[in-house]
Amino acid sequence: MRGPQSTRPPSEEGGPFVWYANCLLFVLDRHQASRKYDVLYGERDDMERAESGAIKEEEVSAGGIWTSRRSFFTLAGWALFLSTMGAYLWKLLSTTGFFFPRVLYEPSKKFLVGYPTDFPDHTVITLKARRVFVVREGNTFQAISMICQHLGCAVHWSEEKGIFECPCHGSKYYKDGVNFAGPAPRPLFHFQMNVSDDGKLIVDTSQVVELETKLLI
Amino acid sequence: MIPDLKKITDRITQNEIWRSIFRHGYEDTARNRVLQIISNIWLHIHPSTVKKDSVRLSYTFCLGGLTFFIFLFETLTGILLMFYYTPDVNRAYADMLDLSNNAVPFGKLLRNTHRWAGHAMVITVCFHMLRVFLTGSYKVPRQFNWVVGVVLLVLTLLLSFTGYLLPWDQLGYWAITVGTNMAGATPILGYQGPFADLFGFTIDNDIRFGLLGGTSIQAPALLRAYVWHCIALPSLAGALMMLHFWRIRKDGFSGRL
Amino acid sequence: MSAEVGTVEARPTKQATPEKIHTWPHLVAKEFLCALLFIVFIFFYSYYVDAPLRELANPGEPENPAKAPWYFLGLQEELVYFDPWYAGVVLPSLIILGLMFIPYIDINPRGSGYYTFRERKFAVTIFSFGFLLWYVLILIGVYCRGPFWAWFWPWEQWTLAFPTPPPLWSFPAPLGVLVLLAYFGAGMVLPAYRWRDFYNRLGRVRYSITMMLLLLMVGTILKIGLRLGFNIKYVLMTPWFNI
Repeated sequence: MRGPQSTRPPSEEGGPFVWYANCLLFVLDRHQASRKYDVLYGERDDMERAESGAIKEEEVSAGGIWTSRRSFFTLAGWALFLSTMGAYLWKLLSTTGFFFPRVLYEPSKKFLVGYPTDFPDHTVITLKARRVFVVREGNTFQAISMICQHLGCAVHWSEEKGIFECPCHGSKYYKDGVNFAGPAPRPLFHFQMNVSDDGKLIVDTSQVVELETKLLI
Repeated sequence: MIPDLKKITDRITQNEIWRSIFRHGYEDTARNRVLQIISNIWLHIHPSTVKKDSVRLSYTFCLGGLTFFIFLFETLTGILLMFYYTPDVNRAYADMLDLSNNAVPFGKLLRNTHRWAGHAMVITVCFHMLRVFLTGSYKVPRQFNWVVGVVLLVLTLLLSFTGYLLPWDQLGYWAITVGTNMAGATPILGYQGPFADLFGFTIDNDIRFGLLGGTSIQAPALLRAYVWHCIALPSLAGALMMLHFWRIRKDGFSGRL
Repeated sequence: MSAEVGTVEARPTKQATPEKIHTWPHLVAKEFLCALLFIVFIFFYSYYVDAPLRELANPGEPENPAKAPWYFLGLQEELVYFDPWYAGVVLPSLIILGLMFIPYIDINPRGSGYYTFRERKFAVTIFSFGFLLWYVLILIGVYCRGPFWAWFWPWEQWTLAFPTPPPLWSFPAPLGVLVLLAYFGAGMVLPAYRWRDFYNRLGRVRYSITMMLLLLMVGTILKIGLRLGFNIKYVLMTPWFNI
């Protein structure tokens, strides 16, 4: 091995000038190119001493630091540590964990949409703020979700074609909410409708009902 | 009287204070070239000498370095933008208008450069990957660094994506709607995904809910996107970049032997 | 991913010791210059082109068409042909995992550290094809998709008066199972017999992973073809998921 052979760090040997000169020597020495960095910082020396057995055996415990004669306690300690960490991680990430708020401040899922007479016969009325369509056929009413079953865009009622269309990926639904083209995997949700005491229509978006369900007035 | 330039520079540089900060001379000698690298904490990311073939511009196109530089650039412009942006559904869009109308000094330039540099970073990171593939630089012993690189690619996309919602405009709102609904379609873990009902996942306890902090995109979602975009993801990406660079340093640059 | 894994013999090197240069100034100067050029470019670009800002978010009225950021338009394009759980979650995860596997399944020792096609034809072909596919899908998404995600050529005027597409149909379940089994079974087994050498060099595990990823990539394209050519919605329908 060329270059300085010293057990002490290079910096302690002859002051900064010699240290600088050593740096230069290494750099100009192309055959030592890969070694110079390690030697400079003593890493290579340590590794070589460890490999050549210069470090006495007592310093390295018989079974390594992971397992030893007291391996039961070693393993038990690791198990305790890992299971504690796992429990905290579970608490952090699980569905009752940190990222899942316990209280939601969101609009009510149950709301009034107006008197039955507000909806002309044979029409689909879009209630953008509530994200529902109210469909009237004679004296029957249906509340159909605006949320596309594909990826949650708001579908659009195309009056002239008589279908619902999704602008995001082109899913198409018939007027009864059944999907027929595009990537949508299932029909639009239909929500529970009721009539309030003063005769107004109520839509409850927490209650999804069968497609055939209609509110008869 | 003509001042002696040499004397003045000597006065400035030949004293204890200057020498305590700058440890080597500036003359272009082989020794100083080396010291320039190894006595500088920032430049020390490089080895003091490199294989000539590894750093040819026609080999690397400087794509990795450029990606890192854009990351730093985004950090800087991002911090400046944070001074004038509020992650609140009633304020966010108005703040955007203020930036775009230069109600904030240099606001438009800041916003534009931040946005376009973000796009540029996606491009450079993709082409960096292509470069590394075509030169076979992921081969022994650099396999794991490629894996780290793939994670960094994903983080770059996520950084871009979380930033998309922050203006609270139609573009971002619907892009995030689509993106998070994809998470909602994850098998088992998402409420619309296959087998979700068998494991009891519904709209208010699935992975999408955890991302949005609610059942739809509202104030909590904006705040979450903001924190992920400004703090969590950059920190993560920064940590992985250190790993990425450190491994390059240890394995050496690729290139012909 | 390497068909031309040969005996492990080092490529004759040009010189025994690589020619080295000082990092300062040679490499640092290049990096500095690249950074400067980037700054100049981004400032000029940002001066002339404004970052997009649409109107205030409106949960009741999506953009038409609603496009994801361009780098996700490849995925959004896939979403037209597959259910979200596949196109949005499983496919991207497989792409990411597949990318991570590359260094471990490509055991060809040649072609490390220089551009070459001749020495690693299979690897370069497949990867470039995948890379290109991703960008072709992005270009389609950016330039060829109009209102309601209908197809418009870049030079066409966007209108709302386009014909409603015909209803889609799916394979019955037994046929779907048969088709998928035939595709993946034949795809896994036949190449192993046809290119015995390839199989032997890679070994069972690497060969399976490589072929699986390749078959998934090709299968994705085939499914797009089935949808566009024959209006097929699903190849396989089960009560729990559809492909």
